[in-house]
Amino acid sequence: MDFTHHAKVAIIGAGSAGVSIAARLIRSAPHLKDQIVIIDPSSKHYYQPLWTLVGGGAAKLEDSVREQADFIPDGVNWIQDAVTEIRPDDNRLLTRSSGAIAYDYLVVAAGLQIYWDKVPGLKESIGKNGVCSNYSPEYVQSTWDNIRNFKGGTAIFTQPSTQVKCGGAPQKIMYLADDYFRKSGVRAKSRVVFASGLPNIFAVKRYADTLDQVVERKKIDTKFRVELIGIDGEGRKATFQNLDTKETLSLHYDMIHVTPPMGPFPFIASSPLADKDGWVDVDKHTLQHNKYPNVFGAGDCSNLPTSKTGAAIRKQAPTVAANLLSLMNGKEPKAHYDGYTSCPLVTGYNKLVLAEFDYDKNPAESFPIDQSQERVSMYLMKRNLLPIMYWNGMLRGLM
Amino acid sequence: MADLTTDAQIKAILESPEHKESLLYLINKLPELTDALQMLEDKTAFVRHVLSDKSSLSALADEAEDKWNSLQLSGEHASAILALTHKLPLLVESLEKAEEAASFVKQVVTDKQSLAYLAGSLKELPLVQEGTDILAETNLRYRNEQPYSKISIMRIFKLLKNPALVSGFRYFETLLEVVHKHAKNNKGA
Repeated sequence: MDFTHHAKVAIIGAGSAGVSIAARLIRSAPHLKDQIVIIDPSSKHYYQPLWTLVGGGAAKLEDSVREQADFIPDGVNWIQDAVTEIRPDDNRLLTRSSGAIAYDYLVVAAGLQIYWDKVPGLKESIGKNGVCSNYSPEYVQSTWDNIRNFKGGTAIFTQPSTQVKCGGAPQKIMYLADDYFRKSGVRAKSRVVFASGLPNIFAVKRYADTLDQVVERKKIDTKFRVELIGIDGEGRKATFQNLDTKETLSLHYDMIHVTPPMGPFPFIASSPLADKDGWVDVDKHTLQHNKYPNVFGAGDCSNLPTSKTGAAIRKQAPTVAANLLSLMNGKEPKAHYDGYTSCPLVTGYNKLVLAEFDYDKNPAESFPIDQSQERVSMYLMKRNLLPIMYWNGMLRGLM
Repeated sequence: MADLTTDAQIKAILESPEHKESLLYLINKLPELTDALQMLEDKTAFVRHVLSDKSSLSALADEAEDKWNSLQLSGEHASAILALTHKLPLLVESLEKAEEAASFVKQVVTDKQSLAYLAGSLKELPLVQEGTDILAETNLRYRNEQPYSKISIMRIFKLLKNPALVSGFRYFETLLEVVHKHAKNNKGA
């Protein structure tokens, strides 16, 4: 194939990580003007953390979407296409319809793939028969429709055992739904079930303690280490498998919010950049690839042992930008990422626990208050300020 | 008188092919070498003339001294420059943060969608929402009330017993006391 492009730096993905890193590179090294390409097929850019509130009827979907073109930094060239293959031994990428791209340095920030078809019956039922999900702009509105039209019965909220974007999100929508059921007077005749493939409500004890109290207060029926393995939309039945005993269990539902299984994109999993699970194999502190030194990885597609969140990317982006520039200047990559991640755990309308922690699950809180408590102030920050900070700060390489 | 042995040695050297070639090269380059030497001589002469021109040098030195004196620099300034140099890495870091903050504010104020979102959010703040609800209900009830219904003394007494009004009166009373106290203190001063 003829090489149609050459870039000093190629960035796969124009999501939170890709755009932030591109913005930081061009701000710190203006001489890279027109030498950075970012490859992404999507014409829209979504602020996905808002979808919990959209599904809960507390925000509008249109506030979570902007034109991608408005956020590609000046001096960076956008190739609106999908990468189909990565050949790091040749420093080449192949795209679906724009030919090949030769690069000197590569940043992989492609995000992750949602596998709707891994749960039999899910793809056919989603958006109807009481089946909804916050994990797509196409279906998120169906969550709010189900919640506000719920007349009582069983409401199930699932979380798979796979890694997902924002590990706390599957339970946030449940707390909002519970709140709404109480307001609409149907909670007394309802059963709310949290069916999770994980062993506990949250991995960090400090926040898990608070969430356990929330679950108890809200009288939520929790089932851990169970995986959703099938949905019968018309029969309104969900089948789960116990991950330890392998026993199956069928539950009737009146509404079910599904957090679908997620995993790496096939073009990454099949490339030499992938680890055994298919994620981009990077050093957890420098974010440099463990085998190819001119390759970096960030965001959901990487194998960093931390929760996959936008807040984590906010700290990963400056590390990648600084280390990449050091490498270009013949220096050692010294910027260090400590695994920081954050999960704003909405526990109801106007209530939120702001979890922040590092690789070792040590709290890394930003505010001089006890963030393990449910707070209105933190909810207002998530609802009103974080979107502004995302669009105008993070994506511009400013915070 | 030259040493015969030395003369013979020089003759022998000059007869070697390498030296003959070098001499030929030098002879060829002689005009350029002469020009270069002349230029160097001119420059040296200029420098020598300038150094001997005491009035020009004195004018230059006076001007430089005047400018230096006008800066009114002292030892403290020298120390400050040193201190500033030491703090430069920290200051650059802070300046970068300030620049990022200013750029962020500029981004926000020029982003119409974000401003609209913020304005919408303000209306939904619990306190603002509560205030808006109270005003809306008040307006509705006021509009529905009989326009010329009589206000009796009993009605005024009933109103005076309203906790919100009593609290308002008490606040106003306290305010008057504080204003009076401050006015008195100012007169005394």
